[in-house]
Amino acid sequence: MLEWLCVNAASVAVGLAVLAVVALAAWKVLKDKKHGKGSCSCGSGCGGCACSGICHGHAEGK
Amino acid sequence: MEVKIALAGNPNSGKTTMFNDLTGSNQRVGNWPGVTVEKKEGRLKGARDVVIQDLPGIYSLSPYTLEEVVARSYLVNEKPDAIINIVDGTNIERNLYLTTQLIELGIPTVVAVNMIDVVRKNGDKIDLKKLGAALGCEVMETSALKGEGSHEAARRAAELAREGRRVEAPSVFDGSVEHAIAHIEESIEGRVDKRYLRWYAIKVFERDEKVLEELKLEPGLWKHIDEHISDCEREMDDDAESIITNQRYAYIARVVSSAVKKKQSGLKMTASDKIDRIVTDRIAALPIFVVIMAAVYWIAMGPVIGTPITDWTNDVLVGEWCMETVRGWMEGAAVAPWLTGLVVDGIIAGVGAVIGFVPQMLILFVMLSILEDVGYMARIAFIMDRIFRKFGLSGKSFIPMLIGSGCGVPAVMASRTIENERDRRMTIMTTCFIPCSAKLPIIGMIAGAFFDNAWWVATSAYFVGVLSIVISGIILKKLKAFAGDAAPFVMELPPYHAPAAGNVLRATWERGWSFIKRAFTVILLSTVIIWFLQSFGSENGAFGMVEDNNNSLLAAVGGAVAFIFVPLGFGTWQATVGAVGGLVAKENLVAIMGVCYGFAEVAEAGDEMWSILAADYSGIAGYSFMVFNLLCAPCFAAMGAIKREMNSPKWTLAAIGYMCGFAYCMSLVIYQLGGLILGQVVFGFWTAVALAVLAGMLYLLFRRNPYGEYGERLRGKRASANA
Repeated sequence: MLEWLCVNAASVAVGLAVLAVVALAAWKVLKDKKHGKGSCSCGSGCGGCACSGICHGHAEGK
Repeated sequence: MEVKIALAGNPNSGKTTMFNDLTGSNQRVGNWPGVTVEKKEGRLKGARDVVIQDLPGIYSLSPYTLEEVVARSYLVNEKPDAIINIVDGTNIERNLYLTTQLIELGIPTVVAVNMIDVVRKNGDKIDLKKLGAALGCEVMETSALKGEGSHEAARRAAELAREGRRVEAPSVFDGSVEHAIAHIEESIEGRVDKRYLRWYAIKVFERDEKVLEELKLEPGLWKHIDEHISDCEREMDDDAESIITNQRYAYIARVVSSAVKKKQSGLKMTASDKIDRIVTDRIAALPIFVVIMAAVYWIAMGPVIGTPITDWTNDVLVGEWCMETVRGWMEGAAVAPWLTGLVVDGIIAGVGAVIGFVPQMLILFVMLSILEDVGYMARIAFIMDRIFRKFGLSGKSFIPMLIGSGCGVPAVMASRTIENERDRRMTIMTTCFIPCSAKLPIIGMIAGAFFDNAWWVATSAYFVGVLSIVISGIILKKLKAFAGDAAPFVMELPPYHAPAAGNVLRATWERGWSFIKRAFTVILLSTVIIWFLQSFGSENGAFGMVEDNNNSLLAAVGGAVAFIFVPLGFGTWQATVGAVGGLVAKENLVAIMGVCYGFAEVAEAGDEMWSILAADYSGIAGYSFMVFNLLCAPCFAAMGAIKREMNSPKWTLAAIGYMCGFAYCMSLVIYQLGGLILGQVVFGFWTAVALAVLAGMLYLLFRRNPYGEYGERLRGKRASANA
């Protein structure tokens, strides 16, 4: 087992790193979903929308 | 003692600018409970015990819009200690309409006459003392943009709140109206907070449904009050609400004539008026709009700025630096080949294919933010109102579509502003036709692969969206479910001004960052799954990693349904999987193509995915693929928004079904007939079907509208003109 680990150390390390990244991404997606943010490009709010001033006049007071 | 100060004012009066000036970075942004209207709260700089609440921009305290409902509910139920009413000094008559209502609430109020620098520049004079005396409250001058007077106004409001001084509302109405209001005050005294007595009485006089519902007056009492109101209405020969509105304006006119001296006559045109004469001109408006949008896309995606940056990002940053460097490291460290494949050809290729378009998107976001900040976006809605009205829609429907150029979700939610249920449903069904920012990588990929990064591809994609809305508008309006006149459309056109760098950069950053974050979450997960599915399968009778991804699981699944897209010119398993994967997030399509077509291997040969695509599909098939993916069902997030807004499974299915059907028809016509004209398609069964579809669409477009008064009136007009 130890020998196999030594031979494949790089693969194990990269595999674990990939797993961690995937788990982190999945956690973030689930967390966003829980907080009511969909997977759309705006995060379901008006803050990042260039046209928010038109939709809700208050958002971009001049 | 903590003091709560509410900032209230008309839209574009400078409220948010003053809020930012007063609170700095000390803000909390959220939504008002149950609605999507933004809620901002912060603490006054240098006075932590003063909380500033930014209310939505409103024109009155009547519950006509969501913003007005939210603001009124806060002022009446949350009972702030003081109000700063921001009044646009350059447009004082209209702004004072809200002021008169705020004062009636009895809450200590400071009127901040904002944009005073512009007032001075125009040579106008506002006598603050006279204005204050007439309104019965303190009046101060401010210029929120220049940071002049805002803090003084906030400090004064906090002082008034601590003193607990009551505001004596001025006598705004005529004798008989005041008489009726006094009777109502007597009748409802004890049922409401004493401070709000006059405000409630006036609302009861107006027969405000929400207030009457809240007060739950006994039938006998209401009958007695209603008699007073009816007497007044008979005397004034008008309905109660109009009496109040007219008398408010009459009062404001008297106040303004005594306290405001305007240098220029009311007829002199401002710089904004002069620009609008050209930009919103009946004939020139549309060509100007087309030129501006073409210029926006030319800059963002054209050969001078957009393409070189994207090429560099794709070829050098992603292709050479990321992929080759990582591949070199992993091969040097003897990492298992399949794992190297997953990281390089799966994750980096997929995420990189999307990230490659970030520069183009940022440029586009900057341009759209500038257009919005300058004030041109509002004009587009005005221009499109005239065109949309001819097709049974109003400019109100174009606002969600404008927002849709950023993201489909808020666009669908913005349809709430449309009161007419039929128009609202139709807007929801068509608003996602406008290419959202997530669809831009698809456009960029097709433009790069088939059309040598021609700028007109992106511009045409935008106008295919607008055209689809117009065609759908005409066709759907002739159905019973959507028939009827277009809703009236009134919107304020804010004056033009130079874009504020802060606003533009903030909007660009928020949208761009959101896109990048998504690439490293949803897209990354998707590429991992896609890589596994396209790397494993059955080859030579054994299941395992495949040499040729045409033998993969993904190819088997995609290939089984790819026949559906054969008539559209892209009946391959890769395009099928891409189109379906695009439902997760539209830019996922590009990531899937990157994984399926092996971005890395091709990049090694000094080439990229685009030339492989060009070899697999004809130019017209590429364009048809783009149009299908722009018009078909949006991403799951937008479909969720459609479900929420439609509030009906039947209408949700109808909306998504219509989008898919329409997209299929458009792509079929483009590929079959466009290909026939260009010599890329030979006449066959599907060409005949495309001709039939085109004929059917033309029939639906030009047939007489059998429903609605609109059609009737139009026919009547034509008949009388012919006679």
